Amino acid sequence: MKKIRWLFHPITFFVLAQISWGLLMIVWIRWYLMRNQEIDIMVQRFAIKENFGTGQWIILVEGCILMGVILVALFMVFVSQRKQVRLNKLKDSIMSSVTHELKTPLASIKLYLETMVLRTLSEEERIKFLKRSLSEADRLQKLIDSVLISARSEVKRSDKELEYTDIVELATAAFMRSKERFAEKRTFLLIKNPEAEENGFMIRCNPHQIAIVFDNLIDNAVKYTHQGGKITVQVDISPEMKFKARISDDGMGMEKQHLKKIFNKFYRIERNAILRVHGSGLGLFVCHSIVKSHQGRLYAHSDGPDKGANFYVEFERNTAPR
Amino acid sequence: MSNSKEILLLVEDEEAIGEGLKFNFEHEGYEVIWVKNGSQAYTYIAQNHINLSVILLDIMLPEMDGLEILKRTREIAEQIPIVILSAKSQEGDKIKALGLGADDYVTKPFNLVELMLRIKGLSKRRRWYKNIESDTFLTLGKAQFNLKTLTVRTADASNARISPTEGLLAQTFADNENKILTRSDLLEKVWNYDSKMETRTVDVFVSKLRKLIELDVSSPQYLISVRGVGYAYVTDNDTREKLLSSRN
Repeated sequence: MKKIRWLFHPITFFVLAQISWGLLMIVWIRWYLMRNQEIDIMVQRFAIKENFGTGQWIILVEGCILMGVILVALFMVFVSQRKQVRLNKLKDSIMSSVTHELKTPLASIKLYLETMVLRTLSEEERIKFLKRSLSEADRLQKLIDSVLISARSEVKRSDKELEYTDIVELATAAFMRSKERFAEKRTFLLIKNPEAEENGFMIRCNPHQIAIVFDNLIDNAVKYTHQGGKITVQVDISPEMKFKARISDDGMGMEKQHLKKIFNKFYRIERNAILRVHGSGLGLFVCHSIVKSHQGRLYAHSDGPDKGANFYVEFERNTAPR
Repeated sequence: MSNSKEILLLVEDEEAIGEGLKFNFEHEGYEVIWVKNGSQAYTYIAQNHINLSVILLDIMLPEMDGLEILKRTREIAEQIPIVILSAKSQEGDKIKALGLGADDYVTKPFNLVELMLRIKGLSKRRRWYKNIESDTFLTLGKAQFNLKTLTVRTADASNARISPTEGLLAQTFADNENKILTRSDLLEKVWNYDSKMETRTVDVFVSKLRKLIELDVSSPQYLISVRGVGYAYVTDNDTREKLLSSRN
Protein backbone atom coordinates (compact mmCIF):
# COMPACT_ATOMS: atom_id res chain seq x y z
CA MET A 1 0.00 0.00 0.00
CA LYS A 2 2.84 2.35 0.98
CA LYS A 3 4.65 1.52 -2.28
CA ILE A 4 1.57 2.36 -4.32
CA ARG A 5 1.21 5.69 -2.48
CA TRP A 6 4.85 6.51 -3.29
CA LEU A 7 4.16 5.92 -7.00
CA PHE A 8 1.70 8.82 -6.99
CA HIS A 9 3.88 11.10 -4.91
CA PRO A 10 4.83 14.45 -6.59
CA ILE A 11 8.55 13.63 -6.11
CA THR A 12 8.10 10.44 -8.17
CA PHE A 13 6.41 12.41 -10.94
CA PHE A 14 9.14 15.03 -10.80
CA VAL A 15 11.91 12.44 -11.11
CA LEU A 16 10.05 10.70 -13.97
CA ALA A 17 9.64 14.07 -15.75
CA GLN A 18 13.39 14.73 -15.43
CA ILE A 19 14.25 11.28 -16.79
CA SER A 20 11.80 11.81 -19.70
CA TRP A 21 13.34 15.19 -20.53
CA GLY A 22 16.84 13.71 -20.39
CA LEU A 23 15.89 10.80 -22.64
CA LEU A 24 14.13 13.13 -25.07
CA MET A 25 17.28 15.27 -25.29
CA ILE A 26 19.47 12.23 -25.96
CA VAL A 27 17.08 10.92 -28.65
CA TRP A 28 16.81 14.34 -30.17
CA ILE A 29 20.60 14.97 -30.34
CA ARG A 30 21.18 11.44 -31.66
CA TRP A 31 18.52 11.98 -34.31
CA TYR A 32 20.13 15.30 -35.25
CA LEU A 33 23.61 13.74 -35.57
CA MET A 34 22.31 10.85 -37.69
CA ARG A 35 20.34 13.17 -39.97
CA ASN A 36 23.45 15.34 -40.26
CA GLN A 37 25.55 12.37 -41.31
CA GLU A 38 22.94 11.42 -43.90
CA ILE A 39 22.90 14.99 -45.23
CA ASP A 40 26.70 14.97 -45.43
CA ILE A 41 26.54 11.72 -47.45
CA MET A 42 23.90 13.23 -49.71
CA VAL A 43 25.98 16.40 -50.16
CA GLN A 44 28.97 14.29 -51.21
CA ARG A 45 26.95 11.94 -53.43
CA PHE A 46 25.01 14.62 -55.33
CA ALA A 47 27.77 17.25 -55.21
CA ILE A 48 25.46 19.84 -53.71
CA LYS A 49 26.87 23.22 -52.66
CA GLU A 50 28.87 22.82 -49.47
CA ASN A 51 26.92 25.29 -47.35
CA PHE A 52 23.73 23.20 -47.74
CA GLY A 53 22.26 22.29 -44.37
CA THR A 54 24.62 24.48 -42.33
CA GLY A 55 22.96 26.47 -39.59
CA GLN A 56 20.88 23.54 -38.42
CA TRP A 57 23.06 23.29 -35.31
CA ILE A 58 21.75 26.73 -34.31
CA ILE A 59 18.26 25.25 -34.11
CA LEU A 60 19.65 22.42 -31.98
CA VAL A 61 21.42 24.81 -29.59
CA GLU A 62 18.31 26.99 -29.36
CA GLY A 63 16.22 23.92 -28.61
CA CYS A 64 18.66 22.81 -25.91
CA ILE A 65 18.65 26.27 -24.29
CA LEU A 66 14.84 26.46 -24.35
CA MET A 67 14.59 23.00 -22.92
CA GLY A 68 17.10 23.96 -20.20
CA VAL A 69 14.93 26.98 -19.35
CA ILE A 70 11.86 24.75 -19.15
CA LEU A 71 13.74 22.35 -16.88
CA VAL A 72 14.86 25.14 -14.55
CA ALA A 73 11.31 26.57 -14.49
CA LEU A 74 9.90 23.13 -13.74
CA PHE A 75 12.39 22.70 -10.95
CA MET A 76 11.49 26.11 -9.48
CA VAL A 77 7.77 25.29 -9.64
CA PHE A 78 8.44 21.99 -7.93
CA VAL A 79 10.53 23.54 -5.15
CA SER A 80 7.93 26.24 -4.59
CA GLN A 81 5.13 23.67 -4.52
CA ARG A 82 6.99 21.59 -1.91
CA LYS A 83 7.56 24.73 0.15
CA GLN A 84 3.84 25.51 -0.08
CA VAL A 85 2.96 22.01 1.09
CA ARG A 86 5.32 22.39 4.07
CA LEU A 87 3.84 25.81 4.88
CA ASN A 88 0.32 24.41 4.70
CA LYS A 89 1.28 21.61 7.08
CA LEU A 90 2.82 24.16 9.47
CA LYS A 91 -0.28 26.33 9.19
CA ASP A 92 -2.48 23.33 10.03
CA SER A 93 -0.39 22.46 13.06
CA ILE A 94 -0.40 26.12 14.22
CA MET A 95 -4.16 26.38 13.69
CA SER A 96 -4.62 23.18 15.63
CA SER A 97 -2.53 24.35 18.62
CA VAL A 98 -4.04 27.87 18.65
CA THR A 99 -7.54 26.39 18.36
CA HIS A 100 -6.80 24.02 21.20
CA GLU A 101 -5.59 26.89 23.37
CA LEU A 102 -8.68 28.94 22.55
CA LYS A 103 -11.19 26.15 23.02
CA THR A 104 -9.94 25.01 26.42
CA PRO A 105 -10.75 28.19 28.43
CA LEU A 106 -13.98 28.52 26.47
CA ALA A 107 -14.93 24.97 27.46
CA SER A 108 -14.21 25.80 31.13
CA ILE A 109 -16.36 28.94 31.07
CA LYS A 110 -19.22 27.09 29.38
CA LEU A 111 -18.92 24.22 31.88
CA TYR A 112 -19.16 26.54 34.89
CA LEU A 113 -22.04 28.55 33.45
CA GLU A 114 -23.97 25.37 32.63
CA THR A 115 -23.24 24.07 36.12
CA MET A 116 -24.68 27.26 37.61
CA VAL A 117 -27.81 26.95 35.48
CA LEU A 118 -28.24 23.25 36.22
CA ARG A 119 -27.52 23.02 39.93
CA THR A 120 -28.53 24.66 43.15
CA LEU A 121 -25.27 25.94 44.57
CA SER A 122 -24.22 27.33 47.89
CA GLU A 123 -23.05 30.97 47.91
CA GLU A 124 -19.47 29.79 48.42
CA GLU A 125 -19.64 27.43 45.42
CA ARG A 126 -21.27 30.08 43.28
CA ILE A 127 -18.50 32.61 44.01
CA LYS A 128 -15.83 29.97 43.45
CA PHE A 129 -17.28 29.04 40.05
CA LEU A 130 -17.68 32.67 39.03
CA LYS A 131 -14.05 33.35 39.95
CA ARG A 132 -12.98 30.31 37.95
CA SER A 133 -14.97 31.55 34.94
CA LEU A 134 -13.45 35.03 35.23
CA SER A 135 -9.97 33.64 35.46
CA GLU A 136 -10.60 31.50 32.34
CA ALA A 137 -12.08 34.54 30.57
CA ASP A 138 -8.84 36.43 31.39
CA ARG A 139 -6.86 33.56 29.95
CA LEU A 140 -8.96 33.67 26.80
CA GLN A 141 -8.55 37.42 26.54
CA LYS A 142 -4.76 37.13 26.86
CA LEU A 143 -4.69 34.59 24.09
CA ILE A 144 -6.84 36.65 21.80
CA ASP A 145 -4.63 39.68 22.56
CA SER A 146 -1.56 37.61 21.72
CA VAL A 147 -3.05 36.46 18.42
CA LEU A 148 -4.05 40.04 17.55
CA ILE A 149 -0.70 41.54 18.59
CA SER A 150 1.19 38.88 16.67
CA ALA A 151 -0.84 39.63 13.55
CA ARG A 152 -0.51 43.41 13.99
CA SER A 153 3.20 43.41 14.72
CA GLU A 154 3.92 42.35 11.18
CA VAL A 155 1.80 45.07 9.72
CA LYS A 156 1.75 48.13 11.93
CA ARG A 157 2.98 48.65 15.46
CA SER A 158 0.50 50.13 17.88
CA ASP A 159 1.53 53.59 19.02
CA LYS A 160 -1.68 54.49 20.80
CA GLU A 161 -2.52 54.47 24.49
CA LEU A 162 0.94 55.50 25.67
CA GLU A 163 1.11 56.50 29.29
CA TYR A 164 3.84 57.28 31.78
CA THR A 165 3.67 54.15 33.86
CA ASP A 166 5.66 52.60 36.67
CA ILE A 167 6.80 49.31 35.18
CA VAL A 168 8.02 48.00 38.55
CA GLU A 169 4.39 48.19 39.57
CA LEU A 170 3.31 46.34 36.41
CA ALA A 171 5.86 43.58 37.11
CA THR A 172 4.72 43.35 40.74
CA ALA A 173 1.05 43.18 39.76
CA ALA A 174 1.74 40.38 37.24
CA PHE A 175 3.74 38.52 39.91
CA MET A 176 0.85 38.81 42.38
CA ARG A 177 -1.68 37.58 39.80
CA SER A 178 0.34 34.45 39.09
CA LYS A 179 1.08 33.88 42.77
CA GLU A 180 -2.62 34.04 43.55
CA ARG A 181 -3.42 31.49 40.85
CA PHE A 182 -0.59 29.03 41.41
CA ALA A 183 0.46 29.53 45.05
CA GLU A 184 -0.57 25.97 45.92
CA LYS A 185 1.61 24.41 43.26
CA ARG A 186 4.70 26.60 43.00
CA THR A 187 6.88 28.69 45.33
CA PHE A 188 6.99 32.38 44.41
CA LEU A 189 9.64 34.88 45.34
CA LEU A 190 9.75 38.60 44.46
CA ILE A 191 12.97 40.53 45.01
CA LYS A 192 13.30 44.25 44.35
CA ASN A 193 16.42 46.32 44.92
CA PRO A 194 15.99 49.48 47.09
CA GLU A 195 15.79 51.82 44.10
CA ALA A 196 13.06 49.73 42.49
CA GLU A 197 11.24 49.34 45.79
CA GLU A 198 11.29 53.03 46.67
CA ASN A 199 11.10 54.92 43.40
CA GLY A 200 9.84 52.49 40.80
CA PHE A 201 10.68 53.11 37.14
CA MET A 202 8.53 55.38 35.02
CA ILE A 203 8.57 54.97 31.26
CA ARG A 204 6.23 56.01 28.48
CA CYS A 205 4.67 52.76 27.40
CA ASN A 206 1.53 50.89 26.59
CA PRO A 207 0.80 49.53 30.11
CA HIS A 208 -1.60 46.86 28.82
CA GLN A 209 1.07 45.45 26.52
CA ILE A 210 3.83 45.57 29.14
CA ALA A 211 1.49 43.73 31.53
CA ILE A 212 1.07 41.03 28.84
CA VAL A 213 4.88 40.66 28.74
CA PHE A 214 5.22 40.06 32.49
CA ASP A 215 2.10 37.86 32.61
CA ASN A 216 3.34 35.69 29.75
CA LEU A 217 6.86 35.35 31.13
CA ILE A 218 5.71 34.44 34.65
CA ASP A 219 2.99 32.08 33.33
CA ASN A 220 5.64 30.41 31.16
CA ALA A 221 7.89 29.97 34.20
CA VAL A 222 4.96 28.22 35.92
CA LYS A 223 4.16 26.09 32.87
CA TYR A 224 7.70 24.85 32.39
CA THR A 225 8.32 24.07 36.07
CA HIS A 226 7.31 20.91 37.85
CA GLN A 227 4.99 20.77 40.84
CA GLY A 228 6.62 22.54 43.81
CA GLY A 229 9.07 24.41 41.56
CA LYS A 230 10.39 27.86 42.40
CA ILE A 231 9.60 31.01 40.40
CA THR A 232 11.67 34.10 41.15
CA VAL A 233 11.07 37.59 39.83
CA GLN A 234 13.91 39.96 40.53
CA VAL A 235 13.60 43.65 39.66
CA ASP A 236 16.65 45.93 39.73
CA ILE A 237 17.17 49.54 38.79
CA SER A 238 20.85 50.08 38.09
CA PRO A 239 22.76 53.27 38.98
CA GLU A 240 22.77 54.05 35.23
CA MET A 241 18.98 54.12 35.50
CA LYS A 242 18.34 50.92 33.64
CA PHE A 243 15.41 48.67 34.47
CA LYS A 244 16.17 44.97 34.54
CA ALA A 245 13.70 42.23 35.45
CA ARG A 246 14.78 38.62 35.71
CA ILE A 247 12.07 35.97 35.64
CA SER A 248 13.66 32.69 36.58
CA ASP A 249 12.53 29.18 37.34
CA ASP A 250 14.12 25.87 38.28
CA GLY A 251 12.17 23.90 35.70
CA MET A 252 12.77 22.18 32.38
CA GLY A 253 15.23 24.71 30.92
CA MET A 254 16.45 24.28 27.37
CA GLU A 255 19.48 23.67 25.21
CA LYS A 256 21.51 26.66 23.98
CA GLN A 257 20.36 26.23 20.40
CA HIS A 258 16.81 27.23 21.36
CA LEU A 259 17.64 30.38 23.33
CA LYS A 260 17.14 32.75 20.40
CA LYS A 261 14.68 30.71 18.37
CA ILE A 262 12.09 30.60 21.16
CA PHE A 263 11.21 34.21 20.34
CA ASN A 264 10.28 33.28 16.76
CA LYS A 265 6.63 33.12 15.86
CA PHE A 266 5.15 29.64 16.42
CA TYR A 267 8.50 28.19 17.48
CA ARG A 268 8.01 25.31 19.89
CA ILE A 269 10.73 23.16 21.39
CA GLU A 270 10.14 19.53 20.48
CA ARG A 271 9.98 17.71 23.77
CA ASN A 272 9.21 14.10 24.50
CA ALA A 273 5.74 13.16 25.70
CA ILE A 274 6.79 13.34 29.34
CA LEU A 275 7.83 16.98 29.13
CA ARG A 276 5.29 18.19 26.59
CA VAL A 277 3.56 21.44 27.52
CA HIS A 278 0.53 22.98 25.81
CA GLY A 279 1.00 26.29 24.07
CA SER A 280 0.16 28.36 21.02
CA GLY A 281 3.76 29.22 20.12
CA LEU A 282 2.84 32.89 20.24
CA GLY A 283 3.54 33.99 23.83
CA LEU A 284 7.28 34.67 23.64
CA PHE A 285 7.03 36.07 20.12
CA VAL A 286 4.46 38.57 21.35
CA CYS A 287 6.59 39.46 24.40
CA HIS A 288 9.61 40.03 22.18
CA SER A 289 7.64 42.18 19.75
CA ILE A 290 6.23 44.33 22.54
CA VAL A 291 9.57 44.81 24.30
CA LYS A 292 11.29 45.57 21.01
CA SER A 293 8.64 48.11 20.07
CA HIS A 294 9.35 49.82 23.44
CA GLN A 295 13.06 49.89 22.57
CA GLY A 296 13.79 47.43 25.31
CA ARG A 297 15.54 44.07 25.30
CA LEU A 298 14.23 40.60 26.02
CA TYR A 299 16.55 37.62 26.09
CA ALA A 300 16.82 34.21 27.67
CA HIS A 301 19.46 32.15 29.37
CA SER A 302 19.50 28.54 30.48
CA ASP A 303 22.29 26.26 31.65
CA GLY A 304 20.61 23.39 29.83
CA PRO A 305 17.74 20.94 30.10
CA ASP A 306 16.43 20.52 33.66
CA LYS A 307 18.55 23.44 34.84
CA GLY A 308 15.83 26.08 34.77
CA ALA A 309 15.53 29.17 32.60
CA ASN A 310 16.04 32.90 33.08
CA PHE A 311 14.28 35.57 31.04
CA TYR A 312 15.58 39.13 31.19
CA VAL A 313 13.58 42.25 30.33
CA GLU A 314 15.50 45.51 30.10
CA PHE A 315 14.32 49.06 29.55
CA GLU A 316 15.97 52.42 29.64
CA ARG A 317 14.19 55.45 31.03
CA ASN A 318 12.15 57.59 28.64
CA THR A 319 11.84 54.93 26.04
CA ALA A 320 8.67 54.84 24.03
CA PRO A 321 7.23 52.46 21.47
CA ARG A 322 8.59 52.88 18.02
CA MET B 1 -13.53 1.94 47.46
CA SER B 2 -17.29 1.98 47.56
CA ASN B 3 -19.06 -0.83 45.75
CA SER B 4 -22.42 0.88 45.45
CA LYS B 5 -21.24 3.84 43.38
CA GLU B 6 -20.26 3.83 39.75
CA ILE B 7 -16.61 4.84 39.47
CA LEU B 8 -15.64 7.37 36.84
CA LEU B 9 -11.97 7.87 36.06
CA LEU B 10 -11.47 11.43 34.85
CA VAL B 11 -8.17 12.04 33.09
CA GLU B 12 -7.85 15.78 32.53
CA ASP B 13 -4.86 18.07 33.04
CA GLU B 14 -6.84 21.31 32.80
CA GLU B 15 -7.51 22.34 36.39
CA ALA B 16 -10.72 24.28 35.70
CA ILE B 17 -12.32 21.62 33.48
CA GLY B 18 -11.29 18.79 35.81
CA GLU B 19 -12.70 20.51 38.87
CA GLY B 20 -15.97 21.41 37.11
CA LEU B 21 -16.49 17.89 35.78
CA LYS B 22 -15.64 16.27 39.11
CA PHE B 23 -18.21 18.49 40.83
CA ASN B 24 -20.92 17.62 38.32
CA PHE B 25 -20.34 13.89 38.14
CA GLU B 26 -20.20 13.64 41.92
CA HIS B 27 -23.59 15.35 41.97
CA GLU B 28 -24.81 12.68 39.55
CA GLY B 29 -23.81 10.00 42.05
CA TYR B 30 -20.47 8.91 40.63
CA GLU B 31 -17.34 8.38 42.61
CA VAL B 32 -14.86 10.44 40.59
CA ILE B 33 -11.16 9.63 40.51
CA TRP B 34 -9.44 12.60 38.91
CA VAL B 35 -5.94 12.09 37.50
CA LYS B 36 -4.04 14.94 35.86
CA ASN B 37 -1.29 13.24 33.94
CA GLY B 38 -1.11 10.42 31.43
CA SER B 39 1.32 8.02 33.07
CA GLN B 40 -0.45 8.23 36.45
CA ALA B 41 -3.74 7.58 34.65
CA TYR B 42 -2.41 4.47 32.98
CA THR B 43 -0.90 3.18 36.23
CA TYR B 44 -4.27 3.67 37.89
CA ILE B 45 -6.12 1.87 35.06
CA ALA B 46 -3.66 -1.03 35.12
CA GLN B 47 -4.25 -1.57 38.83
CA ASN B 48 -7.97 -0.77 39.13
CA HIS B 49 -9.65 -1.40 35.78
CA ILE B 50 -11.93 -4.06 37.23
CA ASN B 51 -13.62 -1.50 39.46
CA LEU B 52 -13.97 1.26 36.89
CA SER B 53 -17.36 1.94 35.32
CA VAL B 54 -16.26 4.42 32.70
CA ILE B 55 -13.23 6.52 31.69
CA LEU B 56 -13.41 10.12 30.49
CA LEU B 57 -10.10 10.79 28.77
CA ASP B 58 -8.43 13.92 27.39
CA ILE B 59 -5.93 13.47 24.52
CA MET B 60 -3.28 16.13 25.05
CA LEU B 61 -1.88 15.13 28.42
CA PRO B 62 1.51 15.49 30.07
CA GLU B 63 3.69 12.38 30.35
CA MET B 64 1.53 10.11 28.20
CA ASP B 65 -0.74 10.95 25.31
CA GLY B 66 -4.46 10.08 25.74
CA LEU B 67 -4.40 7.93 22.60
CA GLU B 68 -1.50 5.91 23.99
CA ILE B 69 -3.45 5.37 27.22
CA LEU B 70 -6.43 4.28 25.13
CA LYS B 71 -4.36 1.82 23.15
CA ARG B 72 -2.71 0.33 26.23
CA THR B 73 -6.01 0.19 28.14
CA ARG B 74 -7.64 -1.76 25.34
CA GLU B 75 -4.89 -4.36 25.63
CA ILE B 76 -5.71 -5.05 29.27
CA ALA B 77 -9.35 -4.03 29.66
CA GLU B 78 -11.43 -4.02 26.53
CA GLN B 79 -14.69 -3.89 28.47
CA ILE B 80 -14.40 -0.42 30.07
CA PRO B 81 -16.34 2.25 28.19
CA ILE B 82 -13.97 5.08 27.25
CA VAL B 83 -15.14 8.50 26.14
CA ILE B 84 -12.59 10.88 24.65
CA LEU B 85 -13.01 14.53 25.61
CA SER B 86 -10.72 16.68 23.52
CA ALA B 87 -10.34 20.08 21.89
CA LYS B 88 -9.05 18.28 18.79
CA SER B 89 -12.09 18.33 16.58
CA GLN B 90 -10.97 17.15 13.16
CA GLU B 91 -12.69 14.13 11.65
CA GLY B 92 -9.34 12.32 11.41
CA ASP B 93 -8.75 12.68 15.17
CA LYS B 94 -12.17 11.17 15.90
CA ILE B 95 -11.73 8.26 13.51
CA LYS B 96 -8.28 7.54 14.94
CA ALA B 97 -9.55 7.50 18.54
CA LEU B 98 -12.60 5.37 17.71
CA GLY B 99 -10.37 3.06 15.70
CA LEU B 100 -8.13 2.59 18.73
CA GLY B 101 -11.08 1.47 20.80
CA ALA B 102 -12.80 4.57 22.21
CA ASP B 103 -16.56 4.22 22.59
CA ASP B 104 -17.32 7.84 21.90
CA TYR B 105 -15.64 11.16 21.14
CA VAL B 106 -16.81 14.49 22.54
CA THR B 107 -15.19 17.77 21.50
CA LYS B 108 -14.49 20.77 23.71
CA PRO B 109 -16.32 23.05 24.30
CA PHE B 110 -19.03 20.53 25.11
CA ASN B 111 -22.59 20.55 26.34
CA LEU B 112 -22.53 19.42 29.97
CA VAL B 113 -25.97 17.76 29.98
CA GLU B 114 -25.20 15.87 26.79
CA LEU B 115 -21.83 14.71 28.13
CA MET B 116 -23.47 13.45 31.31
CA LEU B 117 -26.11 11.55 29.30
CA ARG B 118 -23.42 9.93 27.21
CA ILE B 119 -21.47 8.85 30.28
CA LYS B 120 -24.61 7.49 31.93
CA GLY B 121 -25.54 5.62 28.77
CA LEU B 122 -22.15 3.99 28.55
CA SER B 123 -22.15 3.10 32.26
CA LYS B 124 -25.38 1.17 31.62
CA ARG B 125 -23.64 -0.56 28.73
CA ARG B 126 -20.91 -1.63 31.13
CA ARG B 127 -23.64 -3.27 33.23
CA TRP B 128 -24.88 -5.10 30.10
CA TYR B 129 -21.46 -6.64 29.71
CA LYS B 130 -21.28 -7.61 33.40
CA ASN B 131 -24.63 -9.44 33.02
CA ILE B 132 -23.24 -11.87 30.46
CA GLU B 133 -22.25 -14.77 32.65
CA SER B 134 -21.54 -17.68 30.37
CA ASP B 135 -20.21 -17.99 26.84
CA THR B 136 -22.72 -16.45 24.47
CA PHE B 137 -22.12 -17.19 20.83
CA LEU B 138 -23.51 -15.13 18.02
CA THR B 139 -23.15 -15.51 14.28
CA LEU B 140 -23.20 -12.36 12.22
CA GLY B 141 -22.41 -12.55 8.53
CA LYS B 142 -19.36 -14.73 8.10
CA ALA B 143 -18.10 -14.16 11.63
CA GLN B 144 -18.74 -15.83 14.95
CA PHE B 145 -18.71 -13.73 18.11
CA ASN B 146 -18.27 -14.82 21.73
CA LEU B 147 -19.85 -12.00 23.72
CA LYS B 148 -18.50 -13.23 27.05
CA THR B 149 -14.87 -13.33 26.02
CA LEU B 150 -15.33 -10.47 23.52
CA THR B 151 -13.56 -12.43 20.82
CA VAL B 152 -14.49 -13.05 17.23
CA ARG B 153 -13.60 -15.51 14.52
CA THR B 154 -13.66 -13.14 11.57
CA ALA B 155 -14.86 -13.66 7.98
CA ASP B 156 -11.28 -14.31 6.83
CA ALA B 157 -10.90 -16.95 9.59
CA SER B 158 -8.60 -14.96 11.83
CA ASN B 159 -9.17 -14.24 15.52
CA ALA B 160 -9.78 -10.73 16.81
CA ARG B 161 -10.80 -8.99 20.01
CA ILE B 162 -13.72 -6.59 20.14
CA SER B 163 -14.92 -3.93 22.53
CA PRO B 164 -18.26 -4.31 24.34
CA THR B 165 -19.65 -1.57 22.09
CA GLU B 166 -18.83 -3.67 19.05
CA GLY B 167 -20.26 -6.73 20.81
CA LEU B 168 -23.49 -4.97 21.66
CA LEU B 169 -23.72 -3.53 18.16
CA ALA B 170 -23.30 -7.03 16.72
CA GLN B 171 -25.99 -8.34 19.07
CA THR B 172 -28.35 -5.48 18.15
CA PHE B 173 -27.99 -6.22 14.45
CA ALA B 174 -28.47 -9.95 15.08
CA ASP B 175 -31.65 -9.27 17.10
CA ASN B 176 -33.01 -7.13 14.28
CA GLU B 177 -32.21 -9.35 11.34
CA ASN B 178 -33.53 -8.08 7.98
CA LYS B 179 -34.84 -4.89 9.55
CA ILE B 180 -33.68 -1.36 8.88
CA LEU B 181 -32.19 0.29 11.96
CA THR B 182 -31.80 4.07 11.89
CA ARG B 183 -28.72 5.73 13.36
CA SER B 184 -30.95 7.00 16.17
CA ASP B 185 -32.17 3.43 16.88
CA LEU B 186 -28.57 2.27 17.11
CA LEU B 187 -27.57 5.18 19.34
CA GLU B 188 -30.41 4.33 21.70
CA LYS B 189 -29.90 0.58 21.71
CA VAL B 190 -26.11 0.41 21.80
CA TRP B 191 -24.92 3.64 23.38
CA ASN B 192 -28.09 4.27 25.46
CA TYR B 193 -28.12 7.79 24.07
CA ASP B 194 -30.98 10.11 23.51
CA SER B 195 -31.87 9.76 19.84
CA LYS B 196 -31.51 13.51 19.32
CA MET B 197 -27.75 13.28 19.72
CA GLU B 198 -26.37 13.19 16.24
CA THR B 199 -23.04 11.48 15.95
CA ARG B 200 -20.79 10.00 13.31
CA THR B 201 -19.73 7.43 15.87
CA VAL B 202 -22.31 4.93 14.56
CA ASP B 203 -20.84 5.01 11.04
CA VAL B 204 -17.32 4.44 12.31
CA PHE B 205 -18.44 1.44 14.38
CA VAL B 206 -20.48 -0.08 11.54
CA SER B 207 -17.47 0.14 9.26
CA LYS B 208 -15.35 -1.58 11.97
CA LEU B 209 -17.98 -4.33 12.24
CA ARG B 210 -18.05 -4.79 8.47
CA LYS B 211 -14.33 -5.52 8.48
CA LEU B 212 -15.04 -8.40 10.83
CA ILE B 213 -18.05 -9.98 9.17
CA GLU B 214 -17.80 -9.24 5.45
CA LEU B 215 -15.58 -11.03 2.96
CA ASP B 216 -15.41 -7.96 0.75
CA VAL B 217 -15.83 -4.71 2.67
CA SER B 218 -16.12 -2.67 -0.54
CA SER B 219 -19.27 -4.57 -1.47
CA PRO B 220 -20.98 -5.56 1.80
CA GLN B 221 -23.46 -8.43 1.65
CA TYR B 222 -24.63 -8.44 5.27
CA LEU B 223 -24.40 -4.95 6.75
CA ILE B 224 -26.05 -2.82 4.12
CA SER B 225 -26.28 0.97 4.21
CA VAL B 226 -29.70 2.43 3.63
CA ARG B 227 -28.98 5.90 2.30
CA GLY B 228 -30.16 8.71 4.56
CA VAL B 229 -31.69 6.27 7.05
CA GLY B 230 -29.26 3.84 8.63
CA TYR B 231 -28.21 0.23 8.28
CA ALA B 232 -29.71 -3.22 7.95
CA TYR B 233 -28.25 -6.61 8.80
CA VAL B 234 -29.50 -8.81 5.99
CA THR B 235 -29.54 -12.58 5.82
CA ASP B 236 -32.48 -12.94 3.48
CA ASN B 237 -31.62 -12.82 -0.24
CA ASP B 238 -34.81 -11.05 -1.32
CA THR B 239 -34.34 -8.27 1.24
CA ARG B 240 -30.71 -7.96 0.24
CA GLU B 241 -31.53 -7.61 -3.44
CA LYS B 242 -34.28 -5.12 -2.67
CA LEU B 243 -32.01 -2.96 -0.55
CA LEU B 244 -29.06 -3.17 -2.91
CA SER B 245 -31.21 -2.35 -5.93
CA SER B 246 -32.85 0.60 -4.16
CA ARG B 247 -29.38 2.09 -3.65
CA ASN B 248 -28.61 2.15 -7.36
